[in-house]
Amino acid sequence: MSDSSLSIAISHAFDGFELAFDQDIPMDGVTALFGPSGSGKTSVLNAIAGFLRPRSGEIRFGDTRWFSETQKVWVPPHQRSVGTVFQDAQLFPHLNVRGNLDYADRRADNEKPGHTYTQIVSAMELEALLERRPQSLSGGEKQRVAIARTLLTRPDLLLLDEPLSALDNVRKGELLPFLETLKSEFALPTMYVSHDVDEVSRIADRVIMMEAGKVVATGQTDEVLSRFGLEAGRNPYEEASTLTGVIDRTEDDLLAVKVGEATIWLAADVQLDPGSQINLSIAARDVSIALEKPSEISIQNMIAATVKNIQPTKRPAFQTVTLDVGDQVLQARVTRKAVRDLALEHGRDVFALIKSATFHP
Amino acid sequence: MPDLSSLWLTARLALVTTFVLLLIGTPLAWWLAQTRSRFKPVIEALIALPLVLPPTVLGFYLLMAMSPNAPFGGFWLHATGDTLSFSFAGLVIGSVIYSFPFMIQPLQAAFEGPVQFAVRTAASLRASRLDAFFTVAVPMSLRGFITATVLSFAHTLGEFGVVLMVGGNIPDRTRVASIEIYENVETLNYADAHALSLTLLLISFLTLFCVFLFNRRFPAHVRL
Repeated sequence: MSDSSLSIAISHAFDGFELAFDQDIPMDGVTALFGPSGSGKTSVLNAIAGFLRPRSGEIRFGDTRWFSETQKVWVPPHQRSVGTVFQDAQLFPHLNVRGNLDYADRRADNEKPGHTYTQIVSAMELEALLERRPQSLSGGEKQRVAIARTLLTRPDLLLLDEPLSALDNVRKGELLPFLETLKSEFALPTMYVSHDVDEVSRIADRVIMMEAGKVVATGQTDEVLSRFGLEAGRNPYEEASTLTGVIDRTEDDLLAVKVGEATIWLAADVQLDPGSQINLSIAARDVSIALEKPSEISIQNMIAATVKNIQPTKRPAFQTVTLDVGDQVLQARVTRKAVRDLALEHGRDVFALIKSATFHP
Repeated sequence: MPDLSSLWLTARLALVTTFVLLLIGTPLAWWLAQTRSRFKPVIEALIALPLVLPPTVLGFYLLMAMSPNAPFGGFWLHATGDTLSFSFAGLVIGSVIYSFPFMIQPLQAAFEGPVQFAVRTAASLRASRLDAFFTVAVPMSLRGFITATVLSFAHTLGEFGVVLMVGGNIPDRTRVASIEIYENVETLNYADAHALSLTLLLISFLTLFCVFLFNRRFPAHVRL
């Protein structure tokens, strides 16, 4: 199958926008569908898997037509040789891990050459988990089971729908190596949906970048990411602010950057000349707020700031506090409870504590 | 000693009704759980109607429809050689309609949400729709099935108005326990009325108790 391609030419209407996707995707390596949430990337994946019937167009996998509006072709999802790993694993709660794996194995075409049950279980390191109930597994373990279960269907094409997005950073770090194993050991053509630059740059060979239902760029991963100024550590779709500062000096392998009156310290892997300007990217979740300047704390970076405004986020427990730092703006993501307990409001003087910052010259 | 034949008739009616409801209700509840049809609210309202309608109203219309002069009643008489009104078959039809929401609503709730996602997952693992229904939807909705079955059964046990309108009060044929209790009270036979009432009370309580015990012992995979 490696010399064939997946041809998608579909359009579909959604509440907010029109999805128009027209791509020939080579069926080797990992192709990332990359873009902000709501850009239509999961809809494309659902159309490939057969969970979404586009309003018009055609989807062809190699010589097999899966969907054609004009020729009235529609292959139902269970007859397409794709395997989907969902965002939230979707393990069957009434079966244990072994039962979940057997479910896929029993329905697979076992004549097909490929990896055995044992090989798949061991690649995802599931030997010790086989008798466990899905409810007792951690998020990362659930995803490993889900990946193994999908591999057991012996798919010709693998669809991964933000498999890391439901995990915290630690679990993400634990699961990423398994995704790399997946790539190196199983070598299945893969479509990988993500809005995370780090994941995409680690896993994908090529990128299809989407925005508001349209493809805005395609190409080799490095090429596309650098064209848009996206590097690991910088996430365009995450709340973050950029502070401009001037490099002051290097000390203890740390770079001292003057931002207004304050100094921010960050690990320096590169030599930069004092006096040059630098942009710091600071994720909102890496910023905390204190009413008084704390002492005896490991966080070194503190900046005097004034609360500008407070806005809700997608998650009800959190709010985004926008801070004035000199003539620049810094965003902090804090809980609603914290906003209430600290009585944060417009004009209040506070200290912003910055846990980490990355820079791009 | 009260006549036990009415209790036996009641049990038979409840069992047959529940069985018929399972057969009709399961596909209908499944359809309701996943449809985006604009007729869904109309159908849901129709199904819920017996919850609020006086049984006599329902019974009255059923009696009209079952009359040999009405198309449906006439067809039945022609096809089976027996009238629907004042027969066991007529009682079953009345009970099925009367207990419909008690079967549909718990099943529909069990089939919605997580089960729909799970069925989609099963399709991605090469399960056909029917396969996915029996191997994923049914086991995940076990609690819904038990609640629906028991509620339908218990509700049919307690039926009175519809039976009286459609079936009348014919011993061994349409005289169910609730009607015999009424008859006993009418004829001032309080002892028998008491015995039968207590029996119905105990059976109903025990049935419901078993459901709640089951729900406690086997935490649900799905919400109800």
